[in-house]
Amino acid sequence: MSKRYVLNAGIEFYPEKCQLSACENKNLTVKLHAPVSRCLELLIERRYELVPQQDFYPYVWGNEGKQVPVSTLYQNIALLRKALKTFQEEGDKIVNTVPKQGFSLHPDVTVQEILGDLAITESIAVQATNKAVITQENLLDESLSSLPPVAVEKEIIARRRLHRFLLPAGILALAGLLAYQLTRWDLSSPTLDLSQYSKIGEIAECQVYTNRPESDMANANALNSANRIDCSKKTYLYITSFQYSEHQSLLLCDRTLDDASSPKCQAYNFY
Amino acid sequence: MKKSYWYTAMAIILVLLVLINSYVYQQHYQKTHFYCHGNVTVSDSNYTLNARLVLNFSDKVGQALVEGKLIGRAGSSYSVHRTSSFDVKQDSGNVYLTATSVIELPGNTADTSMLKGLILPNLLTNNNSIHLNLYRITSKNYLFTNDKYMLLYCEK
Repeated sequence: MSKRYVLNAGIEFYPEKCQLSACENKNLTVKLHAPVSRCLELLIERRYELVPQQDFYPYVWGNEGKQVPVSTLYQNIALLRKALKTFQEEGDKIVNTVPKQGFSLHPDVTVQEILGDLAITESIAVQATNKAVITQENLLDESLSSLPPVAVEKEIIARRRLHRFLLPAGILALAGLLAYQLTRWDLSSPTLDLSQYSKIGEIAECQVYTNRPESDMANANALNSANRIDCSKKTYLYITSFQYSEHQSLLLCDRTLDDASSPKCQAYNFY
Repeated sequence: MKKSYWYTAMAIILVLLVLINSYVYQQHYQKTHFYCHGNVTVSDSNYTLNARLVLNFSDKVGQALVEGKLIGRAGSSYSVHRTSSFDVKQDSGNVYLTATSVIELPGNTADTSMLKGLILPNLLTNNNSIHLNLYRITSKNYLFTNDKYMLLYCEK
């Protein structure tokens, strides 16, 4: 499948033909030397990074690359800039030079990759994550492939804007929801203050705890015998007396109440 | 800050917010929607009630079921089968229950007057409101009490 690229929505590049042409004027074309064309192809393929000088030699000249001097590389890049300037006034700025290191496409350059009729648009400025989303989006979205390249680009830019808006909007919505939940809902769970219970002795096999330390064992014994509490299976007896009531409550448990392994208890109330 | 970092940071914040919201909602749901049951023995000068009490809370409404035996001092025995629906208002550990419907189930032989004072008033008659303190003992156990009595120790 033939591949071509559209740079800055105005310059078409055909790697197979080594040719540049204007999108809006098909008569305006520039035939590139093969090495110049290969340089541009490499820059486009690795458009998210700085392409080191040494990577150009094998890619552009193959096995002969080892013998090619650096001045030849610079000469080819100069020819490329000149060719690009034919189409756009700022065309010579499409290729950046990083002295003694290499070359890269300018971050503001948009690159639209067209495989047959299927368009894939990317901007250098868009990061790798966006690249994945947009590439996928275009490959999957058949409706886009039927649109002309410029319309596809507009559609994709609109979608990208939507994505940019969705993320902050989602954060705002979720933060609002969280604030609502935290203000409306009280999530605290009061726990019983077990420190108010102290052990006052034992009845049969039961260890007796009470929240009134002044309670005597006689009272506990009376409660126990009057209600035939069975201390053989559950051995922890909690007696609760209330400040405003003469009633008393008992909790008979198989473990202490502060045992994390869910003690099983039976409640007794006496009026 | 580079755009990529900005997007990554926003994505992380979004995911964190989703997780925190889910956690808060789950905590709230656990607190307001639960079922628990327990055994209780209540005695006064005339009767002793041995009953199994089942409570089911679904946010603002709840149901209670009492099943047990009422034994008189003279040895007489009655079956207790009652259910009640109530409105629930929860505020931290305070639970306010207002009975909306009290029903005697088939097999119930204990008269309402016999049970007065032995079980919560909102399990006996409509439009009765009570206030209870709900304590979480463990993740599975709750204790219902107020300033007069310890009503029920129940487990999920």
